[in-house]
Amino acid sequence: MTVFCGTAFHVPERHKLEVLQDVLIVVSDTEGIIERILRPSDCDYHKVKEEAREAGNLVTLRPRQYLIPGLIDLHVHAPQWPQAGKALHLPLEEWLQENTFPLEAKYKDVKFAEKVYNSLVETLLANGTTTAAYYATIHVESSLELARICLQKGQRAVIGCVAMDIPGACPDFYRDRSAVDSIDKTAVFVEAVKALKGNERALVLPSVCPRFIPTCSTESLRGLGELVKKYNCHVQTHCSESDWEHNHVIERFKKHDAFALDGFGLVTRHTILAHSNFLSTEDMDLVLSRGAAVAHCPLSNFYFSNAVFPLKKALDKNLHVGLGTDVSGGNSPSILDNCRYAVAASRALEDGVDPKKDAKERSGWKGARINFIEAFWLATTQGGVSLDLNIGKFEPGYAFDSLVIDVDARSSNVKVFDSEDSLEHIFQKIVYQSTSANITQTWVGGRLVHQL
Amino acid sequence: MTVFCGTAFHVPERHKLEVLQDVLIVVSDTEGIIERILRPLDCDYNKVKEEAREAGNLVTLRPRQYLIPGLIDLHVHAPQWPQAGKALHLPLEEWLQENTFPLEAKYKDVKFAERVYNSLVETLLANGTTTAAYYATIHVESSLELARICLQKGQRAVIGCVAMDIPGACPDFYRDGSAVDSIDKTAVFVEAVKALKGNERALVLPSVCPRFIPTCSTESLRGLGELVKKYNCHVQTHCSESDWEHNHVIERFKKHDAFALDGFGLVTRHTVLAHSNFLSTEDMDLVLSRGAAVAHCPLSNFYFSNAVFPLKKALDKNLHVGLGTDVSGGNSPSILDNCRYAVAASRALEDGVDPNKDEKERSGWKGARINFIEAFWLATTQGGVSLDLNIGKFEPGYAFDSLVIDVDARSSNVKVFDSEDSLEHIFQKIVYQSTSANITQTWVGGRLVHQL
Repeated sequence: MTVFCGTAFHVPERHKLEVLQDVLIVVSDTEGIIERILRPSDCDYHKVKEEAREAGNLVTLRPRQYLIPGLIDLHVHAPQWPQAGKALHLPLEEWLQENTFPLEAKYKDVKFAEKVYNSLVETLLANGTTTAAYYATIHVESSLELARICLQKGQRAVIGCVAMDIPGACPDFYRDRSAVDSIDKTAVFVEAVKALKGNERALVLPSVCPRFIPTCSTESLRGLGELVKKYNCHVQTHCSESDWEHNHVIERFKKHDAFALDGFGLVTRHTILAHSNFLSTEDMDLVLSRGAAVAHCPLSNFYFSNAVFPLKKALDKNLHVGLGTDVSGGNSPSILDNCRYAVAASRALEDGVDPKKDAKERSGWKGARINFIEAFWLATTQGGVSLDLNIGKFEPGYAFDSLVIDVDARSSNVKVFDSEDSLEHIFQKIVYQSTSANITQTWVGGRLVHQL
Repeated sequence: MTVFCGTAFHVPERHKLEVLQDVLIVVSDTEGIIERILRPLDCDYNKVKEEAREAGNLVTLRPRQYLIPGLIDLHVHAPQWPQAGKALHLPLEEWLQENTFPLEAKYKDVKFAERVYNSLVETLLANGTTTAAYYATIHVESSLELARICLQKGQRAVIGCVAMDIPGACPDFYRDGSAVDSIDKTAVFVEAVKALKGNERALVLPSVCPRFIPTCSTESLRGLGELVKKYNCHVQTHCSESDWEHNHVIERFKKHDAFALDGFGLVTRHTVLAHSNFLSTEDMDLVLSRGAAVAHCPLSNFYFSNAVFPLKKALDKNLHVGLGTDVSGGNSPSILDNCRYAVAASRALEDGVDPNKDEKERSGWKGARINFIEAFWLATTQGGVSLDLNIGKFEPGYAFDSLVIDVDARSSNVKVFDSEDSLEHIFQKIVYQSTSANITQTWVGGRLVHQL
């Protein structure tokens, strides 16, 4: 048992910021789960605190340090990490065929995979990403290596070994040999992840991962759907990301992406649909009925998606939505950066962008904005709901995945002025201004996995 | 004389990234100006290097450290620093009247000003902002205090004591006593800044600073225009920032903001017009003819400006444009963050944002995008051109205002993979991913002003 003492912030519901001042969070050591949350007014608050102190189990935050739930990244291409911050000026097709696929092909070499994946997992944990939903590559061995690295470093993860087999859409040097190969290797991967030594608590989960419909044959999609039913595991794929993808699926299947995927059994309670900018109202109703989630990738969308995801519309319909960095379509590995871009994107959608148009005709999306509380909720609580895992908020029964934020850290851009800043204001500043320099500790399942 | 040895990046022209590998930059100690730039192939490269080493004047960058020009922030509200990262969910009027003006009114207390301004200048230097164009408040004493703090800490600055006098637009508690008061106090401020002890090299320059037309009476604008002519100093004001402001000026003066300002003599070679999202083609031609500059504030614009500034159109017309953080309309004090938002905003303008619209009608701004090289150029070289100062690039005769970027610094999100990353790629990653944690040294006029 470890008892954490300090001031914590979390957003358990869409519009509800809770400031837990001088709270005690009691975490079981065996399970890493929050057992109790005690406020100063609770009758045994002092007793629990003193007992923990005497037993040496008390972790006390310093003044200017705050606890927040760990961040959840619902969409990150692990093999693209060396490309993050590069190539964003290129057209999508060139970016994919001449940069991204050649890079991903290199992961046939497990040593290369090990080097990159170690760097990435460390960096994500340093940025407070306690849970990541990763796309790996077509290679089973290097994808398993990513799983091992997450286990070893203590990051919670959902990992997909990417399936892609259509010759015209995938290069010869980077493609599953056949639909059967896509299906078989995915089954091998799913079983191997579950069987990994040290993964008894399912810190790392496998997913079935068709890259996106344009690279997957009908046979492959059908077979992958059957695997989902068989293993009842997570599913990750891209959905209606851009004009091109959206129109491609309509042309091929005579229906929208979400419906096409659903027809193969790939839209389930454990499905993460990345981007989904062009979901129609009917598509959203389908996603909602299946309990699937959308990974909103606001930064990447500015570069490659042609439009802004109608986030507020989705939330008002109670869709499960979380945030994704979409490294390297997005340049930043930080989910807090993506909180900021999510707010900015919602403002762009609400106001429109064209200065030549009159205010009345510039946008038809009145009320589309979200605020910092909703953005943080997406990054934490809703990320947990999206993955159907008990993570993302401070509540008994939830995993103790959390971050210690120090606003006085070196290189901090968060400056607190006592005469001006309440605790709620400090929370706003953390959401809008903190960086990896402020994240002094990262905890996953009660284990300290990053220390600055 | 100090000689800097290492690899430097700069963008002396709009599309031209120069990688100065193992360069020697010779800086005069008395003036802080670059005297010579020597490449390894230059005949006296080794001689100069050895002589500097023997004289103890050689500063050598470590591997994984790079030199870039210091960043230039053309628009920052210094008194709003305690509000940065806060209140962005509020409507503009409420943000201004209930939050911003009450905060700015507090600077009547010079002790409060001293505390905030010390924090801000330190933070901006830590973020690599070697030059800042500041709006202070209506108070002469605290605005002078900002100038003293910049001098003491070594930051280059242009500072305006804000003029605002219209009773209906400004609250009773925060307003100049009259138009005459606006004009007189501005003259006092301009002369006092020039006379400041320690400012013989004009590190800190004064500006005439009408907040924006909606808060300034006609008498005040006319008088301030006369001061500009008298002192030939910088001018800072907001211009055509939002629908509301744009339409307000048209209603009051029957002409666009730029033309109204110009009519008072406020648009000169040394004018910085903030935002300017709604400049028409004719407005741009006027700004160009006067040699004035636009401070593009891409992050703030997402929150309060209703549209995206047509940046590429302005650049293609050869307007002087630089970047501004617009703290606290923008939450980040980092100009590199604003480089990223400038690219994202240009993509939003190019593609449009509305997923309900067909691709062909979603945007009329084909080709509006900029890339990372242009973004960095705006933040450095073009910032210098905008202020008409010899800063922003590595060239003899230019001030040695520069940053040492360490990609291996603690908390770095910039990860270099030798097999994947050329020097040009490292530059891209620095522009897209570096934070204050990567800025290990900041130099202004040859003086080390920030050391991590």
